[in-house]
Amino acid sequence: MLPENDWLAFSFFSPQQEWPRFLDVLDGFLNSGAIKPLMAMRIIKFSQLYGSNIRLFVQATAGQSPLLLAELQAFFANNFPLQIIPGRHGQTPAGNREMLMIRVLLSDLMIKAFCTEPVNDETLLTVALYLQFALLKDKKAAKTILSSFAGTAIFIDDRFLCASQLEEEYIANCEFLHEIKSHLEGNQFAVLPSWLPPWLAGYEMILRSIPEHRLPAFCRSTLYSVIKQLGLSVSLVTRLEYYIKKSAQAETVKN
Amino acid sequence: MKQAFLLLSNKCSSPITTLYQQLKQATKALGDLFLLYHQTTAVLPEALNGINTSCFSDNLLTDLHYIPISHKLIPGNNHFPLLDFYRKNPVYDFYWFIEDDVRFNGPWQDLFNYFTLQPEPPDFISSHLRTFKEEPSWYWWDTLFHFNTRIPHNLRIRSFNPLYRISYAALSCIDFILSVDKWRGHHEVLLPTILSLEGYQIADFGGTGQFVPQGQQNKFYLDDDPDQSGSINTGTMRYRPFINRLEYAGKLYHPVKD
Repeated sequence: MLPENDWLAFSFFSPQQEWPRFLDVLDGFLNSGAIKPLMAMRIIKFSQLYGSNIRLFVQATAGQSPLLLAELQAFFANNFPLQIIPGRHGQTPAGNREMLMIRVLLSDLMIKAFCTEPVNDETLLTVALYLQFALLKDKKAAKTILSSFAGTAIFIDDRFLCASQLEEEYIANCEFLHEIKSHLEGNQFAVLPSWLPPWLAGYEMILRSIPEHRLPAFCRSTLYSVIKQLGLSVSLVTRLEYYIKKSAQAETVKN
Repeated sequence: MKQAFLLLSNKCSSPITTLYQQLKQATKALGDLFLLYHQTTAVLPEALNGINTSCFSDNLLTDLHYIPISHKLIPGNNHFPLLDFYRKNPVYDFYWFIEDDVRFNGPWQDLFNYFTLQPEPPDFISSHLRTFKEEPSWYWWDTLFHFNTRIPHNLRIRSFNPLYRISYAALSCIDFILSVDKWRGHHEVLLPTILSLEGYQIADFGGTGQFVPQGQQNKFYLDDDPDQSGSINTGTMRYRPFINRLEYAGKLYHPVKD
C-alpha cells in the first residue's frame, strides 16, 4: 500500500549566514496570493546533515500538487538555482495530527525568529530555551516533563562539552534563564520576543485537546520536535537539557 | 487490512517447520506468511521446499545503507531483514515480526485476530515497553546514536522485540530515519523511541507498565514491574532463562527451547 502523501520536499544548501535571507524570501513567496491557495501547510527543519541546509516540506491543497510543484521549481530556479535539491519523498513529516500541527507552528516560529536574526549556536539555544520553558508553563505538562528528569543523570559527552564548562555557562546564564521564566509565567507579552506569543496560543490550544493518558507521549514528542526542527547539535542539546534541569532543581529548592 | 507475517529463522529444523505450519493455519484468513530465512549457505536446504520463503544474508548489513551497531545481525541489527522485506514488499498495512523461539500457548489466531480487529490499531505493538527513568541501567540505551545530534535520555523508550507488529507508515518513518537521517541503534531502543517521538502510537501486548492499553494488563504475556537493570529475567516474555514448559494458556512465551 502507498501512503497518502502530497508533501513536496526540498533541501536548501547554503552557509548558515544565508539562511535569514532565504527564509525571508521564501516566506514572502509562500504567502503570496498566487501560492497561498495551492498550499495547505509548510514545515521547515534546520539540518547539518550532508552540509548545512534547510529542509522544506510543503503540502499541497487537494489536487494542486502538480501546479504547486511547478511554481516552487520556478521560484527556486529564479532565486536559488544552485542551492536547491529535491528532497526524498516517502515520509510525511509527522505521525499524527497534533504533532503535525506542532511542527507547522514551530516552522512559523522559526521563520519569524530567524528571517531577521542570524542563525548561530547562541540564537538557536535562546529560541530553544524559550520554547522549553514555554512547555513548562502548563502545570500538567510541566509535571510530566520534569518527572521524567527527576533522579536521572544528564549524559555529558565530553568529546563535545565538559561538565565544569557546562556549570560555568549555566551560572553565567542564570539571570537570563530566570528572566525568561518570569516573563513567561507572568504572561508579559510586551517583553517576550514577538515570535513567541503565536506559538504559545497555538501550543496551548493543541495541549488542551490532548487526553490525559496521551499527555506524556505528546510532551516527549514536542520536546523532540524542538530539538529536531531546530537541528540542535549534541552540545546544544546537552546545554538545553542541563539548563532546564538545573533551573527546575533551583525552583524546587526555592519552594 | 493487508498483513504480512514474517517468521525469522536461520534454521529449517522440524520445530521451525511445525511452527511455520501452525502460523500458516492461523494466518490464512489474515494475510501472507513468509519464512524470513537467514541464508548462510550457497544452496538453500531442501526442507524449505513448499515453504513461502524470503531469504537474506549478512550482506544486508551493508546493502541497505543503514549504519549497523555491530558487524553481525545479532545483537541489535535484526530489524534490517524486516526493513529489507518492507522495501521489497511495500504492499502491506502491517508487518508482524516473529522470532523462531517465540510460542503462543493457544491458537495463534486468537492473538492475531485481537489486534487485527482493533478499531484504532497502534503503529507499533511489542512487549516490555519502559522509559529510561524506569530502567536506567539497561545496557543498550546509548546505542541510539547520531553523530551530530542526540535524543536526551529522558525521552528514550525501550521494548523487548522477539515478537512485534509494525505499520507501513511506521516502517516508512524508520527507513527514512536510518537511510536519510543516519540514526543508528539497537532496534529495542530505536523503534519505540523514534516512533513515539515522531508521533506514532506505540503499545504493549500485555505485561505491565504505562504503555499497556487500559484493560490489557498481562493480557497476552505476564511481566513483572520494571527493574533498574532492565534485564528481563522473569515473566513469560523474557531474555533468559529458557522456558521448557508453557504454563499459562493464551500467553506468549520466549525463549522457548524445543
